[in-house]
Amino acid sequence: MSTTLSTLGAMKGYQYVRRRLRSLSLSTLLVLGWMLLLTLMIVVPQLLTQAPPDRMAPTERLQGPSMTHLLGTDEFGRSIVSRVIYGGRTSLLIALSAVLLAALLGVPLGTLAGYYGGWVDTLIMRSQDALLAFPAILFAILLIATFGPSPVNLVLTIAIVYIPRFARLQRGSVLMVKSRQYVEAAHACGVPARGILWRTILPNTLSPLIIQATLSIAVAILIEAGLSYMGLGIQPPDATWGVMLKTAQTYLRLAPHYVLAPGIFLFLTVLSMNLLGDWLRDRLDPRAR
Amino acid sequence: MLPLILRRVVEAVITILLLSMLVFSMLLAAPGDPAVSLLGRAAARPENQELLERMRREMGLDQPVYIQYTRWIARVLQGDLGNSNRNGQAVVGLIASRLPATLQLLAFSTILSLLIAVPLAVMAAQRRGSWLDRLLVLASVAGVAIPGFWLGLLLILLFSVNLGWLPPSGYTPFFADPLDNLQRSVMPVITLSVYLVATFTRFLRADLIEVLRQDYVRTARAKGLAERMVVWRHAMKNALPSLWTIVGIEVGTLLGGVIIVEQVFGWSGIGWLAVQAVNNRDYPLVLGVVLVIAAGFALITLVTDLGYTWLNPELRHQ
Repeated sequence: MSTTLSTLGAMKGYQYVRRRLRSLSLSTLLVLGWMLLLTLMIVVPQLLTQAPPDRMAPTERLQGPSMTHLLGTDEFGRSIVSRVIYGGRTSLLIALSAVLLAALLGVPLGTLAGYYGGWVDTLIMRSQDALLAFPAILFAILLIATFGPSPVNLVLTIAIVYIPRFARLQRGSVLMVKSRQYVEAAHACGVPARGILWRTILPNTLSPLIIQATLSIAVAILIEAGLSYMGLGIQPPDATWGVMLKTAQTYLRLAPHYVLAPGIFLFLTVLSMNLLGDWLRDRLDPRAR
Repeated sequence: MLPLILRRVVEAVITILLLSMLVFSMLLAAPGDPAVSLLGRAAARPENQELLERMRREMGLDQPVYIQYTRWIARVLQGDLGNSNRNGQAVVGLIASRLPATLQLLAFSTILSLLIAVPLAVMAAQRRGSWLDRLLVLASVAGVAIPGFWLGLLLILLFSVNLGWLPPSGYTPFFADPLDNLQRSVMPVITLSVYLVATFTRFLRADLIEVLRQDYVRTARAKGLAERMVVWRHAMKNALPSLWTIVGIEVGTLLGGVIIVEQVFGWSGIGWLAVQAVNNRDYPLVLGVVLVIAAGFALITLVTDLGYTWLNPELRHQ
């Protein structure tokens, strides 16, 4: 009996998922599919490719796509598929960590500025505005020039670029939520400021933050790729999409296929992050509905 | 309007001052002692320690930080950004010699993008929901997401490697050989313009759709004005201030993008100079370029703000 019930439950769950999936448009499904692929790349890259990204084969240099090497090989005979996957993993991890760090620092700053106002607001927001007055790539170059290229510095650099963006957004949301009746009610009930900030205000400012985070990851991936392409980010022999494109440029004549795979992965990832951000905005932001 | 302008100017000056402090603090945080790097290998010899001390004193490195900053900013304001570590040339001179190349790319791509984006946005807004509109929306979503340097590589692959029509990289000053200069600028300009066209089209289309719904547009149509007049004379006038702002913001963003694109095409502008400087550990040059680009960014923001105030009659008559 219980087996039948649980089978029935599973059936319903399966049907529910199928119904929900059917209600999504084709483009949303494609975006979600690409996100699934990226998640697999991060969590279990060995499932997607058998060849290690650093195994060299001098006799198989710069080969075109074939059955053994789906996307061909690079200048050391390493499999491009495998380098695109493991390189993408590095790019994604750097972008995700940077955006997470930026949110962890920017959101409290913005919350404090919006909630307390006055000199706290002025002090926090003015310093953030000075950071915003720099083009992101330029600021990254300045920091990398000072502290040297390394994965950790890359994460810190991109995070610093994004802190003011999160702070500014969060300040705006807090200013809006602060005047709502439920916040006044919490005040009237004697809830301490910390409780109000954590339990009442923060949960109500999450939607714009999630949207901002999604869109920021897209730009963070582009910044990482750009810096690595210019030789200011991840250094060879480690791979990221930017590093691969830099090397591919040297072999444009000999191996034109080399430039395609990393670029297509980069492009589709940024595109799907942007589309996901738009989709989330349509769902989460009541003003956009 | 005057107080508003003054306030914007003061804000821009404060921003540039804050930026200069940030750049200066990087100068302090940078690894290595400037006196040692000036003296080179000789600095390691024990008999040179006294000389090293004297040089530090002469360079003011023994002074408190705020005095060092004041001296530095005073020199910067007089147009002295120091000398390159690498070859001893004045940083200002190096930047000035590379600036025209970068400004050329910025100007060409902004003008080209506007020439393409404005008619496209008008067409899309007028035929909202048509296949043309949908195609343009799709193209602009893709155009924003395509990484500039990858697009650049694809252009080189097509036009230089496969077709052999254009030189793959390099820069010739316009006055040295105008034809060669223009030929070499084609691919960098296209690369930068794709993103701009996509962004401008997207914003202007959305804005025009909003404006074309307004009552005064209906009135203009009702009195029998030709659709061309309605769009270009009446609707465009109201869409102009926000287009101006987007152009300002994006040209600022372009200052970052141009650094990478110059790298792709070996176009020796100031972005190219900056990356060379980082690779050579030429710190004064890095800071000089960063300061110049950041000041340029602040200036563009200021001009955008002032232009917006002037274009918007409500603000103009305040």
